[in-house]
Amino acid sequence: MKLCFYFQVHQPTRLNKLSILDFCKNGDLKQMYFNERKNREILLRVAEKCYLPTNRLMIGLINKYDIKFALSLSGVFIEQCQEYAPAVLDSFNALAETGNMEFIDETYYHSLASLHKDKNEFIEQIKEHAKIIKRLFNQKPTAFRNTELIYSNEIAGIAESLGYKTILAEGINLGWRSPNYVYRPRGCSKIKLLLRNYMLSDDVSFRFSAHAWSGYPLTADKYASWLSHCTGDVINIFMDYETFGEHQWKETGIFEFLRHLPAEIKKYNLEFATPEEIEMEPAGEYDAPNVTSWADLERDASAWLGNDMQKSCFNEMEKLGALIKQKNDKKLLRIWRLLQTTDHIYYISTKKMGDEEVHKYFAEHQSPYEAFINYMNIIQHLKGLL
Amino acid sequence: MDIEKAGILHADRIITVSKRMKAQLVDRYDADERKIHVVYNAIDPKRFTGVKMKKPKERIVLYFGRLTVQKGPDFFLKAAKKVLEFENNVRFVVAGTGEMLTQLIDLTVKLGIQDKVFFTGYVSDEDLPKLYAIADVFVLPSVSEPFGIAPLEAMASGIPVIISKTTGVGEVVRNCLLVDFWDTNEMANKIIAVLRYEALDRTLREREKMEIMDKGFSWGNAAEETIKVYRGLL
Repeated sequence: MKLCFYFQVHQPTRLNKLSILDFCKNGDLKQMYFNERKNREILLRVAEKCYLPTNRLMIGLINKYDIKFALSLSGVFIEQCQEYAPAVLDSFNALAETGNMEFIDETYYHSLASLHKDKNEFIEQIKEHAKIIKRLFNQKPTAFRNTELIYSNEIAGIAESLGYKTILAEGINLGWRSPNYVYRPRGCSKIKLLLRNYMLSDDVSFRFSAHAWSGYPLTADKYASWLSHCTGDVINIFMDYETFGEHQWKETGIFEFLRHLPAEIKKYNLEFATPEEIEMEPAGEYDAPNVTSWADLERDASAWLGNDMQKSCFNEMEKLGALIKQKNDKKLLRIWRLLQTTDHIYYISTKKMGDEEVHKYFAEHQSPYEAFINYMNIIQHLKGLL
Repeated sequence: MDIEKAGILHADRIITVSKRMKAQLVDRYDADERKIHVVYNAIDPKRFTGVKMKKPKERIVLYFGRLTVQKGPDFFLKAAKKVLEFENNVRFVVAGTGEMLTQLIDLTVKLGIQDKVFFTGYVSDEDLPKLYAIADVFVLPSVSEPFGIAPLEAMASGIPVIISKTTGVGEVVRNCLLVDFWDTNEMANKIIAVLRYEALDRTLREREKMEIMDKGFSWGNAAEETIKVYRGLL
């Protein structure tokens, strides 16, 4: 049985506070809208806590156990590395050079462009991402994962038309079927679909340090044994790369877990594989007429479009796009794209209970209202320039 | 101060209307926190729901409270001046009475906004729900407020509420906007945002009402909590 690990690497370009009272001021838009100090601070912190030690560990595990996995780096993350921490990019390059790590494409700006009515922007952002991966790492990804694993039949169709061989999605709405098989998206004829085994993925990414969880403490041997009990062709374990050292701090023992996992996995009939190496034919068709994602308990688009405030930001942004493209102003286009990163709209979520904890963890603003006011102020300021 | 301190030290139990006030007693009077119980104030939500009033043409920004330094009405007027630089169709209503009235009227003249500010004077219990019903946003920039019943009433009325971070009620409600009482720029930013952004206005209205219902800020509950404190002593 194949074991396909995929990790997402992303940092948003964080926003500055922009008051309506500052609307009359002029200045460089990038400096006005984006908080460079904070971007730098957070990137350097996460680099020390997560990216650098995890990459070091992964290279060691590749050398020792020949492990394989896939990564996708958002374009905005790559840009921040180029600006503030080139050593981080070097270490991803070193990983790529082992030949055991496969890059996956996504939207350059980690955006919701796939949900726009006009899909051209979505396609342009995917192409921009493919371009930077080729330029920096000399890889041409054959697999695609959309922002936050946002997926539908339509999105799969676009990925197929762009020539991707594989697409990744959340393993839900399966009924009696298992995510541990390759599927074919409805309406597609070539592209393969890998579905995230969310139980086993979330055991690590969310529950690893949850004392109240019956699986606690999660050890490498325990987890490997759970994996070995699965039936099917391929187990897809997808999560944020920041799980290692950032979401789950070093003190939780997450690095020790990762360090020992390959040896434990090797005890069973499990074989590491990257998406490109998953050669099995689809076991069946997977139909996703509505959008799914890996976010929140709902696993749909409600983490970003769950309330009126989020919807109004999204709609305003979409409308702005048409105006900006008419103007043919590259600088404004780029600013607009940087503003599309999902994190800005995610902070405006007003969901209750369990998910709120996750939102709060990621949120940098005091409340969804504060986040809305600031994001909408920036959108309106940009609109005023057109 | 001495009387307060003596009272606090000798009391078997102390009831405060917020954790903020409890912390102040511990901090300033070295009170034993184990004997301090927080019982939040309440409102009668029924008084403020379903009140129908014809909306004026201008948008209404409301301050309601005593006109004293403690409640920060001068910050409200300073924020009003800034809002008016961006929004013209707005009227600021200062409701209530107090020793600062003359000073505040002078301030509106000094700021050149006298034609945009309306002082209501004393507001009767009967008129208060009507006042909330015509308002578009409620602002309470208290410098120090143990609790603050008016923001709860405004929330029950379904108007967006902006309160200072130094207002006790901020501990128990989430669906309102918070500002530093001195930060009149931010206060203006938030007032304009509520006036301009429909989605914010709508979400706050809906969620405020829901929160007031869910959390059951009734005097009955407050009385029960108080009885518990008394029983604990027997």
